[in-house]
Amino acid sequence: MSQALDVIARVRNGNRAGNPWRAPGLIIPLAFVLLLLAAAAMPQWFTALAPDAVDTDAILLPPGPGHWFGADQLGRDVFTRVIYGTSQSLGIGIGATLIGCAGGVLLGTAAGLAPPVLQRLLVRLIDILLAFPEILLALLIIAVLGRGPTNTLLAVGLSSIAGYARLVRSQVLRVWQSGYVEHAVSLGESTPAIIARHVVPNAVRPLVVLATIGVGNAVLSASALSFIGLGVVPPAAEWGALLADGRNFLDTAPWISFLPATVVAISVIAITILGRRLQLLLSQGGEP
Amino acid sequence: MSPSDFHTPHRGWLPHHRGSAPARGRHLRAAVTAIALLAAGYSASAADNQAAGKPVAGGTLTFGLASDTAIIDPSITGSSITALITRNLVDSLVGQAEDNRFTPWLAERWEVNADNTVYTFHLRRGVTFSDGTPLDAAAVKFNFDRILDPKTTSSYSKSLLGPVAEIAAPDAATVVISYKQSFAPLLQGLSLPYLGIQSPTYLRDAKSTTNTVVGSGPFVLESFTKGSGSRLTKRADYNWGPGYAAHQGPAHLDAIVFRYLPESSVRLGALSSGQVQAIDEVPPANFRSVQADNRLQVVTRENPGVNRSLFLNTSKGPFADARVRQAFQSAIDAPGAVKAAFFGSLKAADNILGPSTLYYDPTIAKSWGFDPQKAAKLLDDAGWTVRDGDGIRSKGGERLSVRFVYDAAAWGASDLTVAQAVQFSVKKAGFDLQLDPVDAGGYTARTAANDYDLISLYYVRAEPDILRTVFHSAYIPPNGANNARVKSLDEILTKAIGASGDERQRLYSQAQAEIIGQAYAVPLYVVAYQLGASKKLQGISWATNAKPNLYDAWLAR
Repeated sequence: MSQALDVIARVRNGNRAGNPWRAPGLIIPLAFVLLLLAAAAMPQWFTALAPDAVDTDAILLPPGPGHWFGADQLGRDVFTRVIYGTSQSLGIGIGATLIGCAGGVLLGTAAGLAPPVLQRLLVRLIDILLAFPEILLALLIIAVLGRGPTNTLLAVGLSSIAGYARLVRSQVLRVWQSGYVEHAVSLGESTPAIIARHVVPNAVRPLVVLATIGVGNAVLSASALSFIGLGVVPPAAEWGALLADGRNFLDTAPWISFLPATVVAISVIAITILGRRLQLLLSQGGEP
Repeated sequence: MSPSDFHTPHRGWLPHHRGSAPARGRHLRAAVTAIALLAAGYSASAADNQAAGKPVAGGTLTFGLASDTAIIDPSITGSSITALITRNLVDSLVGQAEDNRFTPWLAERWEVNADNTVYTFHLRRGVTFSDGTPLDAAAVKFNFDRILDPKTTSSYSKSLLGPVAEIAAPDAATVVISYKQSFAPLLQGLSLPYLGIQSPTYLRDAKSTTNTVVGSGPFVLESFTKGSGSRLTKRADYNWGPGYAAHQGPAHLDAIVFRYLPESSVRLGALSSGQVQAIDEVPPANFRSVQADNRLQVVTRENPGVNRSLFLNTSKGPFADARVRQAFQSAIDAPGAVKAAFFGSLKAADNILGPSTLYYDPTIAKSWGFDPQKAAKLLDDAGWTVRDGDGIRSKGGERLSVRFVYDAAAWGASDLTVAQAVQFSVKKAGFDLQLDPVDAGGYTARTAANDYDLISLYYVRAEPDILRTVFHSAYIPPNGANNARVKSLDEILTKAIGASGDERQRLYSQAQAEIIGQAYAVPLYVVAYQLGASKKLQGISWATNAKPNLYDAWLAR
């Protein structure tokens, strides 16, 4: 899917004249992501109901006025739960990505600049971690730490470190060869200072864009963990937990799972497209 | 750099395994009196599957099970799934009919002395195990001696045999079981598959009995695979069925296949598409639609024993104060929660004991119930007066927060719905009820370490002595299941074992009144066995532990 999106983005971008920063392919996902952020920050602006409010008169009510997304088996409003779940899901997504990036920078820099023996060891470690599917690593971490929102965040974050680390390492190696690092060396700056002031800041620039895409992935991973009952603890309205809640009602009340699933899908697609767009624009030097 | 370097491509939804449910139908040691069982009634009316029609021989019954069992040897497990499967593989000395009378089976007749200390069984002749070994008195003695041997690690079966003094086989057709003190519940225990007789030839040679059973029953175990299921085939020369059965001779069905289908939608789909002819645990949301389907039937049998209840830890924290417990009890809208979670397919509980349990006291129902005003007043009186922005009460800076520890694998989707409804219900009264899911090991550790405020369980047993298992101080974890950690009921419960008639009933009424009045527990619902089946499946009868018997069952063409 990611490749396909990439192609679409390239073709569209190539065909468009005018300011690439105003392209609908950028504006629409951006608007959606801003909407998500608003829902995460101020859920009460979007709905007057409480996410855990049981209403025995509304049990399994189909979507309609009053309950846009219908109601679940306890009569809780599914739309409200999706809105309140945004902060959990997005929070876990962003938090996990930050953990992944921070860990990736540390590990990647070390793997790029450490003494040769340690370097080789760290590169092999990254390779081993990359060989495991992220979700498997996350499951392992959950098994050790136990479930809960903080642990889900840690699990998803830690399991994504290897990917970031490999990117950072390649960037660090590139930057290390660059002219300005040579200059800094010849000016007599200490190695730690060069790493902190020159290497890391220049190496992480591509990371910013990829982290945006990573948020989408992290949201998906966290939802997957919650879906299999290893993520957040009920009655938290995390998106994956909403899907899991509805799976026993797929034939009688499909909206409990289907509508939150649609929101998850659209959100992840929007975040990913946004990341790709930014990546393309920045690589083309598309500064406004 | 290509972005795909960065992504790990493997991603997917993993299947959800709810796992086996050890807490379901957990049987525990309890002394059951024969009188108890004779008096225990069943609310269920005559099953609508006793349709007129002549049984047809042949066909394979495929049965979808919601829970799995790890051990198929009924002598070393208390699993109700093992009981359901092995009921078809092993025979018992005596049978117990649905109306609780005892009928001959492997024993043609028996005598019990006046004070219930000596039982003499006269065995039917000509019975053989499926491996050809004759079933004689020596074989019976071998089985019971094996169960009593600590090396066998039998616990439930052993508790059913009780404090045996000696098992003797004076001749090939006579078994004598004697006790030092009166032990009335033996016949009921003997009628259960947990005390079914297995081939001594097989038992002597087997290194492990976990995966197979060789008995004298109407079916022979062809295969058993943990996590998958088992296949049973008919024994053509079977001619010693239980006295309560509708027919004699070989079973009608050629084979029975049990398949482990933990996901309820899959189980239901398999039934409605005809891949299986019967399932247990009909998903509550689909209960009505299964009932309405003219090809399908649902038969429900309420379990006797302790209802699904919340047990409040009286030893520490906010629940050490009886007023807080009573407030919690009054704050829960159990009927509303149960109706939402089970769509009216199960009854809300009105007492700690189920209605089909002996000495169930129907007057308890009026003494408690959902009453938010009462809850508020009790909490005010107990000093929990300050309420924060979320409405949660606190006292001296301490929030009124309680943790409900449960084994996530054994806790079904509907139970989770009940828990969330309860959570919302008590939040309105000012409780912060936190769900604290753990795995099976964590659950045992947490209860043993007294690190919880609430626990939920239920127990299947027709005999009120089950209350001793749940509320006697000798069984406070880690020694048992007294999760409320109650110490005040020891005298009543101990006295009740030896008492008789009206005195016994009075003592158990007193115990029920105290359990509810002191709010040691909050009953939620009456657990029931729900069989969903094709209407082609006929002739099913029910065991006293609310499990279907399949010997008389047949499939209409």
